[in-house]
Amino acid sequence: MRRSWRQIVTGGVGLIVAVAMAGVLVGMQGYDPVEALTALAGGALGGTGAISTTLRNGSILVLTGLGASIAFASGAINLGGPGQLLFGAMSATLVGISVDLPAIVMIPLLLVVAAVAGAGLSGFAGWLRVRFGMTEFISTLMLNLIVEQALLWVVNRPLKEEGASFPQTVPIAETGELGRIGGISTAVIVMALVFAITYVIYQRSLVGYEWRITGKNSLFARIGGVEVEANFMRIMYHSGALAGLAGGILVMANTHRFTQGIGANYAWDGVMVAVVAASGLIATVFYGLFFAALQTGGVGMEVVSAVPSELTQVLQATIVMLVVAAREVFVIVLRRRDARSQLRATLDGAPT
Amino acid sequence: MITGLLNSMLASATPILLASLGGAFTYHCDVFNIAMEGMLLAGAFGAVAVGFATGSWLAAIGGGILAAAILGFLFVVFAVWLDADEFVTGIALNLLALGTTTYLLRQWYGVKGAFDDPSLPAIPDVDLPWLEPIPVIGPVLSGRNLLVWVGLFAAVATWWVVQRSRYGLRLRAAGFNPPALEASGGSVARVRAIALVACSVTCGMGGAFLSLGYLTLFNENMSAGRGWIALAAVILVRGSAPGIVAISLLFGFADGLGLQLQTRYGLAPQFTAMAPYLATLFVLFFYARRKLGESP
Amino acid sequence: MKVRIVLLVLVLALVAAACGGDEGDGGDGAAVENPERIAYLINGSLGDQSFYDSGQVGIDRLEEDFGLETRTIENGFDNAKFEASLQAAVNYADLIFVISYGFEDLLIRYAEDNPDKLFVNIDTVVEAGTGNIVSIDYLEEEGAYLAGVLAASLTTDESVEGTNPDPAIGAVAGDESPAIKAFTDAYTVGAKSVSDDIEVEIVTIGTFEDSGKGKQAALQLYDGGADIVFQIAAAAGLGVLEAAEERGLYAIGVDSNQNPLQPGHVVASEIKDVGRSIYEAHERAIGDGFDDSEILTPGLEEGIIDLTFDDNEDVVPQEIVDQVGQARQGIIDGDIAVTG
Repeated sequence: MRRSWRQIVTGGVGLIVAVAMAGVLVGMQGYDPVEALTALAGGALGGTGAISTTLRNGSILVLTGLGASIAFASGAINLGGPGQLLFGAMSATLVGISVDLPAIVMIPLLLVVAAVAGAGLSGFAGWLRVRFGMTEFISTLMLNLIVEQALLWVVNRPLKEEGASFPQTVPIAETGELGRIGGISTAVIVMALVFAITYVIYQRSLVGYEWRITGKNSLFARIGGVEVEANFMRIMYHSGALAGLAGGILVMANTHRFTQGIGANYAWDGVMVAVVAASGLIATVFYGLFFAALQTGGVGMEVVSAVPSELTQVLQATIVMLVVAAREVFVIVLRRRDARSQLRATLDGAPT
Repeated sequence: MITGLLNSMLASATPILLASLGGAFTYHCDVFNIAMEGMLLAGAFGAVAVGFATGSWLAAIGGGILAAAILGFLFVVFAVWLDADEFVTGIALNLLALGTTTYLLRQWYGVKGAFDDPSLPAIPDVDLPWLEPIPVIGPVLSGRNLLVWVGLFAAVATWWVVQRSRYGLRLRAAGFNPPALEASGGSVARVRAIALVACSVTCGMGGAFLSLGYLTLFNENMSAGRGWIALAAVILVRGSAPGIVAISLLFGFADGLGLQLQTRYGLAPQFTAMAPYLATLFVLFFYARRKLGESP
Repeated sequence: MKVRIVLLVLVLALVAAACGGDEGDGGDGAAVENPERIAYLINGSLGDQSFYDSGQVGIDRLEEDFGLETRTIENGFDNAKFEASLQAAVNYADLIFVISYGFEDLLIRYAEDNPDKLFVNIDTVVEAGTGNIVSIDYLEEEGAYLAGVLAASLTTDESVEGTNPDPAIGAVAGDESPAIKAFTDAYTVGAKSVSDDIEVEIVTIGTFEDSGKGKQAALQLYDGGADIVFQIAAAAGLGVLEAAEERGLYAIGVDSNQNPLQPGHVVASEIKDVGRSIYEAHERAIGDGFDDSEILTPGLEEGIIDLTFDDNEDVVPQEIVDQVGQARQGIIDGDIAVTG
């Protein structure tokens, strides 16, 4: 409880600093900071269309972020998000273009397929480590690049839509699309559901406890009777499933088909979100949505106030650095305060 | 064809070799340095910036090192002094390098995407006329860029410093047993800071090779993932300098071979592009097997 | 100490914000009343010294000649940005030039939702019946065919310095997408029209950004016996031009005149005057207007596609220039089919 309160406060401090810094940075370059920041907010949240885009991209970012957070917090360096996302997207597409079932069956089916595909690829990397001792840090990185190329081949050759002017598959059946309710993408509902499940597993169950313990101290966990290897596999599966789901949602709510370059930067941004959130699950949701708003609004800012797009990139990096710095500074301050109050308590309690 | 393949191997191995040698320093003192990608990019930009201003390739290499060192300094501030997570810091620095170089490209030179000016000084090639008559070896070794040789020399130097020097001992102690180092009067933070400086120097040169050695231009995101490959290489061979040379060359070879396979055998480009990554995975496999075999 | 720095930053920001507020009051703000704003929405980034930059020239001319307000929105190949960009473009402009590779579905949806805006879709064809999308589909294969004729003639001409007797030519392609394939196919057909013995080697590097990779691929082609390489890889292709200079051989540039980039080594450039087609599309938009889903197909005949020898330091022998000229006339007259 206390820990999550601190997460929120440190995060909040980081955000305020970040927005202030954004204003300074834009102002220093000779643009009107108020106009720019207003345009940024307007681009991200002004109107249903903007909100929907922010929430949909945010949902994808939150899922890739959760995948990374779970893995990092449990001591698995799963950097395979990009590959797992693409694999999930392609698997959902493949099923989506080959069967046509009522939406009530189709939507869960595609989501499960995407999750299983992501989990499968991630599990493969996990298996390589458990069976052969191949570190997942390298294998997931290499598998990203290999899977990306393999899927490029698929979308350029066997599954390429006839006559299309771009490498893309045919669209999935309409019943598999995640539409909008009141103009807002339903992707956000799926994200909320998946977050709830993940949260319960991770924070409230014995399995999650074992994962967290493994992340903190694997020797201790082993002595405590945790089957470290089986646990590691479970973590990889879960983390991969989240990335795969992100890919599925990308297809179902956004493009409705697999296209070249569909993965964009979602998975790496997810890693960034996870690290900024210090692998906290609630913080991941928070920052996932925040960065999605920043990216969506950034374009609005560029167009309204003519701030160059490169500045948005610098801004994002500065924000990451500042949030981290603010958090560290805040932690140091808190630690000192704790130490002081502890000292006082010791002094007060000490027999005189 | 063999000559072409070997030339191509050296060219694509060099930036990875240089970056991962620096990575070996940080690896040994237990700093998880994922900022090498950003350092390479900053190095490539710094070299072009200084080279354009001064017209001297030597100053340009210095500029590359300086630019990479700025990132290295930030890394020290955040990860070593502020004790922030190395992973976070590294990711943020990579983003910062990409954003800043792109932004400055536009601010300073008024161009976007690529900066290509005839006044940019190229880092010279080293011709060895006495070697040229020897088949294969001659044409491969003569006419290589200066920084290719620097890379090979740096490999020897790295091996010596890490394994034989006093600093190397402290470096490994900082990674293996930090409390012991502190107890014996050494400073872990200082050892790590020096390792990051070393890493900045090699990454800066690696970047300079990309922009003014192999090419004579700067383009956005020029490092194109090479820093990540370098990081994988370092971890793969556990920071051993000879291992880094071998893996960089293998990677460079697979990279060049991939392109050859396209034209020779009509393989789909997506599959040939996989070659270096598959090669890395196979090395990892055999390396890990050997390690498993060693332990009882 | 650190806290103080943070506070300082905060105060600075507030000051900056306060100062900025005063300036902001003078701005116009009302977007609706502005009759003519133009957005140029590209999937990649400016600075390729070819396709995107060429379009920007047209946008700049519009700004100058008609006093229009214009904005260029770059996506830097980040597909996640595209929808936000389209949204921003629609909010800003009335006339939107868009390169929509891979986002045709999205373009159609936005066109449906914004019937009062006109979308000019560049380089692909979108036929949706929404009444407000026009497509410009360049006949770049006509230029690529000429490049093939030139490359094949040059590599077999012994008078050209540095060439070998090998009848081999090359091309470095960014990817395998249909737009790029149209180039490589027509290039091959053009080369074979000169002689059936010509070998055309095409390397696909899978990137439009990594110029190191472009150079590596080109060096391999030169070392494999090719005397001339056609670059079809945007900024990554700048590496191909450098490779030509390094080997003392030849390259063909793409999308705008790249001949001066490596003087004497870039013998010709395939030109796609995106800028002029944008300028002319605007002219029609404010004049006669377009039919629904109209497809413009500018090519050699309109002068928007061409192969230029300007600034190439005259390395190409006159009879080859003439030969290319004949092929050009043949295509315009309809006597030559560039797709074989």
